[in-house]
Amino acid sequence: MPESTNEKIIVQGCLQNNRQAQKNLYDKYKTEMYTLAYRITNNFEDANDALQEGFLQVFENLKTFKGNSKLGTWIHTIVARVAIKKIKNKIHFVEINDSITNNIIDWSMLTDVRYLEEAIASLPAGYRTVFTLYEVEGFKHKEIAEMLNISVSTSKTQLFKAKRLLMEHLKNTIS
Amino acid sequence: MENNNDILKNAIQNLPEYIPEENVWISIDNALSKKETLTTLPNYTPPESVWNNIEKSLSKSGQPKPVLTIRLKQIMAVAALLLIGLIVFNNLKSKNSSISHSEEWTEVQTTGEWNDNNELKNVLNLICDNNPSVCITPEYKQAKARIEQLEQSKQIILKQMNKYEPNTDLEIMLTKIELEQTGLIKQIMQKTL
Amino acid sequence: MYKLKQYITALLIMIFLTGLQKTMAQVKVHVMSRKINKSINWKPGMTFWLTGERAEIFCATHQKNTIDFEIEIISKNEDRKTAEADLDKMKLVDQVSGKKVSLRNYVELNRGESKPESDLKVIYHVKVPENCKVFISNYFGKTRVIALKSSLTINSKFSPVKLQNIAGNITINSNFGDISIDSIYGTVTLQTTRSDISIRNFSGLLDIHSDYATILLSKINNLTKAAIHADKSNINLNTGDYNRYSYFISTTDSKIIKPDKMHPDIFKEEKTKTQLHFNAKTNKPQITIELNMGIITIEN
Repeated sequence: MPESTNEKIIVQGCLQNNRQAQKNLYDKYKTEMYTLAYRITNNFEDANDALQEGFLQVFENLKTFKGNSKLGTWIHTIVARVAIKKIKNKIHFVEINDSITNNIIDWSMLTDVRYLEEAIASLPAGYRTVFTLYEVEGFKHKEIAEMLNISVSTSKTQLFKAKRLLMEHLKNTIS
Repeated sequence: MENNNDILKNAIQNLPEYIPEENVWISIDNALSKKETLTTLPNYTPPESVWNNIEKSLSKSGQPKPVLTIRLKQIMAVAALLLIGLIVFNNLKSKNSSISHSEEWTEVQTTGEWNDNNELKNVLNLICDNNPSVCITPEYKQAKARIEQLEQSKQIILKQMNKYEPNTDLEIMLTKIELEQTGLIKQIMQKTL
Repeated sequence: MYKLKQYITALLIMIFLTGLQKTMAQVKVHVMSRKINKSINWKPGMTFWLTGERAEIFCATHQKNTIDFEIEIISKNEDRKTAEADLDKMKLVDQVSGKKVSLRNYVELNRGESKPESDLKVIYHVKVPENCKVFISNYFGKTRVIALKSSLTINSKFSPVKLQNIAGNITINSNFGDISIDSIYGTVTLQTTRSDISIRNFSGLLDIHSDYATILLSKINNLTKAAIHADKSNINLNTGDYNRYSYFISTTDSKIIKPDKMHPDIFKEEKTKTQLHFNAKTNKPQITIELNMGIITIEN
């Protein structure tokens, strides 16, 4: 059975509060969403809470999902928002203007992928969130800006700074 | 400016994934059940006499009673209904239950003897250091992913172990996990030799 | 004689010291427990759902038209107050909604409350009418069901399952929970991961999908049909008389051990794949096995 048809059946079941359907939807997306929540919050306790709250919101608001985007994308956004809310007080952004310093980031020194996860975890909350949302999860700057209540240009510059910090950390670790 | 962005993209593709504990679904399930049960609480329609009395009072005073007072009565009625509902719905605790206390002497169970997570990571890193070409093969990645999945299950089990009672069943599970992980490492090592 | 006395004295001292060490390694633990008894009226068509967490579930049947529970919540800690406080964190809910009777336990934390530090468990002794359909979920516990004559569905994680004397449709999904089935008549469907399976005295239809399991089938004289799909598992068949069945076995990267006297109709070995058919053109009960990476042993 094609996946989209299967998913439609699951969604129908969820709308009827069928627990098995809800569990099936949860099981389908739990790893992806948990990983996202963990990367943003940087600890498993908060990730557990974010996943739980996120999915409760999904089930509550499923009736408002109009199919303008893929269901997975919609769930993604909900869980990301919940995870961001969890660490809201740890995220600090300084609005800076568009002139970025002329540093070049070269990833050729990333010879060992094992260190990337550790490096991402070492970033401060704000940088880590922007990097994760943009590079790992594929959100656009406009979406990130809206989620974090910042401007698009801040999102871009914070991403650049995050990558610079990441590279510094990787250089120190790998060498 | 960014160079060799494809290396970063490739590295991101190989980032690990994390599986949530079963507790998370159990919490979601409980929250959903609670919500559903509260919506099945009965509704009660007041008898006509209630409105008649309200209307009489309104006519007597010549002025409508302050909305605040009516609201207060409605709120109290809803609160009373909720209270009745909660008493009916929940609380096996208050029916037929009694708490008893006893003491026993028992040995404290320890979990320290189970392998540290870092040992396995170190072994895998060592294999890669000695033979980097093995690490990009699908078999290595698959084996590594399985080892990590097993490690997650092991951590879940370790968190559930009892402190004051034997954990025979759980120890059997842990032994099986460690045997499987060792088997996988052996497989990887055989490929490097 | 003197040396013997010395030796015995030394031995006694050693035994005493060992005993003393063990005693000193023991701690005094406060055991708080709460017992709850309840009985719910049952009518034909009603189903019973039990969702347990750290639960030891014993489910049996009786001749009454009620579902009776006797539940004990136990909390153990070296500190009495902590044991008592943690006891309160384990919640029990029972509900009758239409034809569904449900019972569940879970740990509930209020805002700011810490996770329980005590060893918590819930013991359920449940009696249901023989024809009551039963659904059990258990997480980090144990499940035992006996004497049911209706359908049984178990979802089990990290919880061993034991079934005995059951007639009906049985479905078990198990992850890290060994399954032991004895004296069953009916249709059994098992979907397992990392759960060993032992089935004896079985009559009926068997369908097993398993990964990482040791599967033992013995005394299956009245088997109607068996289908086993397994990955990285070892399967041991002790049917009593292999000639009573027809076998259709196909394996990849596996080994088949069979009695010498068993002469298959087809036995093909190609690189990593093996195929074995025995009594293929008979009407005998079929045993179909697909195995990837494991060992199949057919005993007499």
